[in-house]
Amino acid sequence: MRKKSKPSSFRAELLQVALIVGLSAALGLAVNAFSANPLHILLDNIPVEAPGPRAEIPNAVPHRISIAELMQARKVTPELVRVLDVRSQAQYDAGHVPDAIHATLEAILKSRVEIDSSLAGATLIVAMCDGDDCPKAESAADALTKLGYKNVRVLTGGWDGYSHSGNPIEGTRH
Amino acid sequence: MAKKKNGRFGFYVVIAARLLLGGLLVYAGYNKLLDVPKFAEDIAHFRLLPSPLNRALAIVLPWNEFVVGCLLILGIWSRAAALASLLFFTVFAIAVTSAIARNLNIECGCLGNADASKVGLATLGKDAVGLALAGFVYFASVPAKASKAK
Repeated sequence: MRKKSKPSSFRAELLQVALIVGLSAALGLAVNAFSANPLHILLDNIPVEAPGPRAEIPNAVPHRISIAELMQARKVTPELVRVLDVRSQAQYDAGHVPDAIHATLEAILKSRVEIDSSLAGATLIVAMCDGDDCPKAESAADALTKLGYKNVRVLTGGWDGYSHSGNPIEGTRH
Repeated sequence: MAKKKNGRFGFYVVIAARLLLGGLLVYAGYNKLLDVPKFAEDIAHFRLLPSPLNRALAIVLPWNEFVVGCLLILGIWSRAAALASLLFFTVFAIAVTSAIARNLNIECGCLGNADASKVGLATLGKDAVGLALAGFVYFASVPAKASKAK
């Protein structure tokens, strides 16, 4: 009798596992959907032909800019371009794009005044973090666009791409 | 009921293991929930899944861990919760092994912001400990039906 009850007991446990995982996943998705700054599951990297640095992008979807386009924009109008590095302070200190501003996503969301003073006068704001697939940079760009900033982009390749591109780097390890 | 199967000492060892495993999962889940975008980046660095799945997993997995941990601590559906954690640690071990095999120099993200260690053999060791703990809790706990029968 014992031997016969084992498979059904295991099946019941598997059902319980499915219930636990399914319900907790639903809870996670619900909490994310109702949070102040939800993570967009389907907001993927959208490759777009980047216009010049002064062009404006009207909606909240963060568009991309390549490293070459960023360098070109900084060459032409360096005073109008701001690079916003949203990686950790330690990563920023170790190496960053010259003159990049460091601000965590939390700081962008919480202390608007500080961000405003850093980004004043910029016509192109480029958010970046570790690599190409970088929800933090996209969330930062999204938040800045919602705050009213125009022409906010996400750097394609992020720090991984930039640090291997041969362009100048500032920081303690460089 | 576990007392009868394992003896008094074994009974307390199983409870201690269950609390330890539950606490570990709650801690890991909670720390990941503090910075979900960072956790999504950590998953993306493993280069195993497409972007939307990385984000979906970053939203869902911390809650999975948190709920499973709570169930283990509270002793509700303990065997099923231990089975779920066995599943989690197996998946983590596969991901870590694949990262080591591809020589990826990435952060594990295993404990969210509380752990900035890079993926390596030490990470695999921690996974093995989690796996052993989950396996022990599952196999040492008495199934609900058996305990009712007694």
